[in-house]
Amino acid sequence: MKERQKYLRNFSIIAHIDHGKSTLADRILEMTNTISTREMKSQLLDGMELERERGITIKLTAVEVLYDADDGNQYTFHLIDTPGHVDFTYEVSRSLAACEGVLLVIDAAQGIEAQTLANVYLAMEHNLEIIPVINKIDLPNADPEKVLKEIENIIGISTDNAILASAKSGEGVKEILEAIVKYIPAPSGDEKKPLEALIFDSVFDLYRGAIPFIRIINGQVKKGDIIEMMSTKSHYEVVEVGVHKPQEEKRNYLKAGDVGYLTASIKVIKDVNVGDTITLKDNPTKTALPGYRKLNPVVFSGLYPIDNTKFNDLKDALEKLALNDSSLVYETESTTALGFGFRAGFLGLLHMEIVQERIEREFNIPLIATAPSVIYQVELTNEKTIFIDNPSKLPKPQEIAKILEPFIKTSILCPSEYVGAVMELAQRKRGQYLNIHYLEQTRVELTYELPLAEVIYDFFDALKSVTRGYASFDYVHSEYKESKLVKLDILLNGELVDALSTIVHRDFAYQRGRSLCLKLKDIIPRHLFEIPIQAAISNKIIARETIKALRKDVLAKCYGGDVSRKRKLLEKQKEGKKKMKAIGSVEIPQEAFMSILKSDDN
Amino acid sequence: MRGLYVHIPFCKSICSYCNFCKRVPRQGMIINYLKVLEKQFNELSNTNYDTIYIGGGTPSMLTLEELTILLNIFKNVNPLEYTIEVNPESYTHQKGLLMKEMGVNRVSLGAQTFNESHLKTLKREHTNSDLFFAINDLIKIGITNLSLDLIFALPNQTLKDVKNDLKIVSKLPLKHLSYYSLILEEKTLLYKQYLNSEFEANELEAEMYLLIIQELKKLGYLHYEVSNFAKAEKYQSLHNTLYWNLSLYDAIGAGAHGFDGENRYYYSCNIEKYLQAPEKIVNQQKQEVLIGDYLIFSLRMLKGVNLNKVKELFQIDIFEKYPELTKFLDEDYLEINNDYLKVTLKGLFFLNQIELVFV
Repeated sequence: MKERQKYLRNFSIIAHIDHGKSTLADRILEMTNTISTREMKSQLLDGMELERERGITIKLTAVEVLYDADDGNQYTFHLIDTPGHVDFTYEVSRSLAACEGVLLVIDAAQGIEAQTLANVYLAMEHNLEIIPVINKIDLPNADPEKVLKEIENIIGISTDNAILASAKSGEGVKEILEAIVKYIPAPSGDEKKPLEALIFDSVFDLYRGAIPFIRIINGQVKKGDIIEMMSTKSHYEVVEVGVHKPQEEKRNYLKAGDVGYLTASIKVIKDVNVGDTITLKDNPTKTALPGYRKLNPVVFSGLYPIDNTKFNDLKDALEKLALNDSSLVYETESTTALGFGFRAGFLGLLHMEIVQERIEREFNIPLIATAPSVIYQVELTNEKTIFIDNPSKLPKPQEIAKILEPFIKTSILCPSEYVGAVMELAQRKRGQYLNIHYLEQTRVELTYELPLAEVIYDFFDALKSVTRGYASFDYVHSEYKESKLVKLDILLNGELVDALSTIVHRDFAYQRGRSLCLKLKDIIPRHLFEIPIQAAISNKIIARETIKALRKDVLAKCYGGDVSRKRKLLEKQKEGKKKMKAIGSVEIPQEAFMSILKSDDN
Repeated sequence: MRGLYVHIPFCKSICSYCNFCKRVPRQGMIINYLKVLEKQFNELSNTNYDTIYIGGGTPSMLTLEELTILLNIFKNVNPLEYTIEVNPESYTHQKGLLMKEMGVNRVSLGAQTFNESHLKTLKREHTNSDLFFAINDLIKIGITNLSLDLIFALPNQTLKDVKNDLKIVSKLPLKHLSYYSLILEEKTLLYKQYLNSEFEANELEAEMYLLIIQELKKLGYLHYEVSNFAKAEKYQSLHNTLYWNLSLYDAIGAGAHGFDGENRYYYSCNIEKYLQAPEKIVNQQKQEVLIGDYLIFSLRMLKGVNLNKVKELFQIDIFEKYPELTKFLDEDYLEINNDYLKVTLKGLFFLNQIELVFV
């Protein structure tokens, strides 16, 4: 192994949400003087404003820091920050493939949670060295001993090299840096072999094109090289290579063991795929690196501009977002109710919410998002099988032999006193009990198989609510199974509003229909005429509510000399109107489309 | 014309629907408040007001001594109309005499309804006898320009209830009525009760409003503003008309709102702050907003807005600037008569929709 490689350390920080991985990353940057404390902005690695607002890391960022160890040598660390949310597991796994070790951060009070387990299993799959870091030991509820025991009993790894720390105060961070030097192996790999560079992330720059973030497994790459993207077989000439400090810093080359980026004026974003291997055209490697997977979205939603004339703006916005988000897929679609829009696919609900928010906020396009839908497998009577991601595309009942829906296997961790409540919730969501496992006296892991459709909207919120916030969950996709499903339609003022159709389980259809009508009655404002709301299955009306006509819309109130009160009320009324979509003669607020998924039992 | 608004944010108890600036005062608070109020008054440059309006809270809850101090502040002002708000339960003959002596020539009484069960719901503390006594006494004393505040669409109120209220109104020697529709405001007790499903929203608002307009007309009242009725033109509220005409009015007291022609301002409702140093919040009004407000409030005056005056004041042609108004004309929500653009009865019921044009 080359000398320089000996002093490299590539590692990631994995943890359950809010256990402190971003704070620890900040601390490491600070203590290696990568940036001065004055420049330090809290949660620096969370680049985007939206993420900072929601306290979530979405974009991966790799940073190179220099550490002067106690043994007198200078080490080059490559730290990769990762998202902790279940929607982004693939990205986490690709960044782990770029590392030799991980810091496993666990909150000393909360202990092991669902995502902790999910991520550590990923790390173990990649044969990474795991250094447990028990964080937030300064908090009153901290019980590091308990957590160490949990690690040994539940995960089954040794805690000899575990470190007790407080990322907030900095306690233990020096020990962490030394542990990285001592326990995480230097990257293996031969710089003389053909180039094998793993793309673990990418970003799109208007002037420089798509920029892959890469870990060089074998070989080396420099300016002028002609590279090949192994998944698409496309070729590009390298313009620049470098590392993130966290700002970009150009280098002459990147060699085996290095983590950095390259630019090659790649304007075709489809050529940069997370998990893909980059090699050299003239001396390609024989096999691509393992683990590359084409990402498949699991949740779909219709996105429509409230203002029909903004369709092209929405198209532009989706194009731009997809540049930095390789897992966002979309295609045009139209409904009678809403006109022209897109059906977009997401990795999960969080992903969907973030994309919607960005379109409204960064591109200023007020949106109607129709309820998220999963992909249904429909076997027709003529022996063909189709997949539909949009309830209104469901064929007529006579043509359907059976409908299958996707199921997931979930693992829910919660304190034992809430087991009953959780089981009841899972039952309500058509869950099938698989297993119960006591982690310790007071904590339980429940395994259930649930239809994805029942989980995609507010299962997480309901779970948190029945367990007073203590439960966490993770899931993997299981299989497609047949269910007794029917299409529930909604008619407003006698007209079918296709954008409000949903697919529901036959046993719950009446209940859903009635509750939907009631919800819509609440949300849709009164008009100058009466509005009947009806729910129907196969043209048979199963529920009905009526919104009475407005007979008075004038402010007859005393407000004295405070004339601006009146104006403010009118402004509010006007704002409300802007957020409405006219379906025929009925004005419907944005939320109506999402309301159909809110839990009936809250 | 210019007016002065004075706010007395003190009450003996809080009504369940109120979201104005008010509180139950602590010992000595009123005296201190009056000191600051006087100081504010002395800082005004031109106190030659055409109207004074003392509102609240409950101005009449002040003791005779406190009321004397208050009214003395304005002893050198000679307004055409001098109004004070009175709650029947805190009215006394002595206070009436004092008011007359100090030049008050108009009293607005807070009646709300004559139905004692509804009064309980609203948490009003007076009885009908209190009210009738106050009315008769004030007339005897010589303050004959009396106005009543009433509210309809109360929880569980029926059309019959409103008819009953109107019957009693017909028997009272009043010159003016302000008849408001109950609005449930956040942070009020009544609103909480509504959220708790203790009562349902009153569905008869529109019918009640129509009934009130028709009955008061029969009784000889002139319906001159959305919520205001006068026995004759001379009994229209001069002070309130200043608000609706976008005329100027100064304001003193915590929670008081004023307008100087360019800026709208108010003093923060925080009494403790006010006693230390009144906090004034000023909002400059853009020309667009001033024009919009002028039109909104002029249309709420049933005689309408004079198109020529608009041209003179703002150099605009109202239909050019707001083309959407034509559809309201076409659909009979608005009409033009002798250069006045005014709202029809049909339009009155949907005035908010028209006003949205100016926002």
